[in-house]
Amino acid sequence: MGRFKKHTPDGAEDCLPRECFLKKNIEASLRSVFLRHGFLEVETPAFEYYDVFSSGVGSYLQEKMIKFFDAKGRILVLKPDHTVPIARMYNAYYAEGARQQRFFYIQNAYSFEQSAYGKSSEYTQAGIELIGEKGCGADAEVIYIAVQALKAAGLKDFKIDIGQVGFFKALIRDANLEESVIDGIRHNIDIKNMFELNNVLINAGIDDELKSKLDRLPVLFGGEEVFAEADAICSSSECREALQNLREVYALLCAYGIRDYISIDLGMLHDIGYYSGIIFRGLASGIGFPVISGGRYDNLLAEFGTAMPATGFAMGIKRIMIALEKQGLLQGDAAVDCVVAAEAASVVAAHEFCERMRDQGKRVSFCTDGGYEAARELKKQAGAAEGYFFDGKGSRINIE
Amino acid sequence: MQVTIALAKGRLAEKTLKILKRCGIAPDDMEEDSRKLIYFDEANDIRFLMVKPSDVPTYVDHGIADIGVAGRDTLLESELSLYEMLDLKFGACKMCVAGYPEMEKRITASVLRVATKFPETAKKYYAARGETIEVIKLNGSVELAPMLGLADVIMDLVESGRTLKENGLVVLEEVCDISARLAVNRVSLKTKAGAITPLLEKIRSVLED
Repeated sequence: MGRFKKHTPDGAEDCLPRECFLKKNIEASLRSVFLRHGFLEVETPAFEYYDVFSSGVGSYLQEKMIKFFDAKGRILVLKPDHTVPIARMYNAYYAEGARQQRFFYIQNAYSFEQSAYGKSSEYTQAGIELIGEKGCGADAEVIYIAVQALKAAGLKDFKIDIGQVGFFKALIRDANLEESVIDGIRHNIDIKNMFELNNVLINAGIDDELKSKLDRLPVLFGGEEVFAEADAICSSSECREALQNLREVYALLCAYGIRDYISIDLGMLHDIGYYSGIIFRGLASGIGFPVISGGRYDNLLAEFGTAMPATGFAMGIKRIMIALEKQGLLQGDAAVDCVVAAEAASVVAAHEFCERMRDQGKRVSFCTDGGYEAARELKKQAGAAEGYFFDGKGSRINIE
Repeated sequence: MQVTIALAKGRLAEKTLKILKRCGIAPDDMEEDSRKLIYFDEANDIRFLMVKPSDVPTYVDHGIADIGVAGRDTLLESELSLYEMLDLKFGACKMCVAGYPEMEKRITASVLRVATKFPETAKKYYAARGETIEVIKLNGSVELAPMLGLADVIMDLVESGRTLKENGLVVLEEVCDISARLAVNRVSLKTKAGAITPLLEKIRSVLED
């Protein structure tokens, strides 16, 4: 026997009945939210050519992708993300026709992760992509749906934290810095390391005026009071446009009645190569990692042929379930209502009986192997409320 | 809203607790030589976890602790995405590359061999300038490695430089400054803003005193 025959690979795990039942329920709730908002479900292949993810704004770290070869020696990857394949799909089938498309998916994605609770190498994501619309209305729609989705999944205590990467990009543009220096500045703003940011800015020789502005970015987070301070920092028309966009999205979300779920962070600057405007994360108490990641990515579609504005998000189902469990909201079970067992001579009668119960909407297990004792054991194990045993003469006996 | 703080058992925890005390925060029931791992400050609704220094980032990353105090060396090595919000200034030293001033190039090796307790930090440092290295992970007495030919150089924390000097080694490059840092979980900062923001403000003002 091989050494690993009895094991699942690092980062992969089985989903046992109770978790699986609750997971599928959540997925069903999410599906109904997405459908209700006019999004259409798609599935892209579990694996793609490596080239889809190897370059451009949608590229993914080589060492994190799970790779293998096809019969002709071409490199394939298990998809680490759904948005990039959907961008590829859009250009293959929709670029010529109606520009606007609303897609959603509930599928697995894969990447090598340091295996940890809530960070596995195989993960189910549910998400939406709104393609072909620019402007604050589309940004707000996507964030509004994110809130509806988290509520439908059962979460109560959560926030959607919103930023705008255009604000930082416009601020830093005038300084004419090298890419690596900009990334150092971006990184220290993103991790809110004001001390290190100060060092990096001094080493980069940035003038005092811009430095004093960039110095503030790590702490430009909170509620709408952030806008006033951000106003004072604006240096160019692009900068003001980015801030205005964020302000309008925020105003719409407040008008839609979800102000309590929204917070602002202009220092949120992960993946700024990919995101081009609004960027956001869903944060739920009970789990240390974001449960949603999303934003506007107007530069991705062009890499597959047709330039097209787009915005969307992906949510991690496992992380949502971890947060639900921590918040005491993960309840319910795939319970069996009734166990029916029968001796060989009574199988057909017992089977008919089962079908009648099932017609009444009950979940019934039918067991033909073993006598009364085995049936009693099965009833106990299944936690079923009812249990019946058909003996060899066709008599129906209540299982204790 | 309870806030959990992970402290690195030992000197770092002692110094952190001193700063917290000046903020009016202290565990209710901490005695010397106690083996307990969890303490509470009931009045301020704070829970303290005593963990191994190198585990602080892990507790904070998972959100098990909202806040953690660890050396910057530990945070760099962990490569986790945490908010590094305050420099607590103590535990100051430098991350350095050290070795012999004159290094003889080996015939049988093209890449530099670096012995260190911080393999990820070393890889990242050299990768940033396009150099491939071979890392030899050690857990202590790193200075022995170049002396005995196990490695060409070491990357390690240097405080006074005495160990290097007594073993005939010198600092070849300074990598970065190290000191104790206060890290915050990315989710907690937003979901527990009401408790964490004032706490950070208090610590910041004590530090500036």
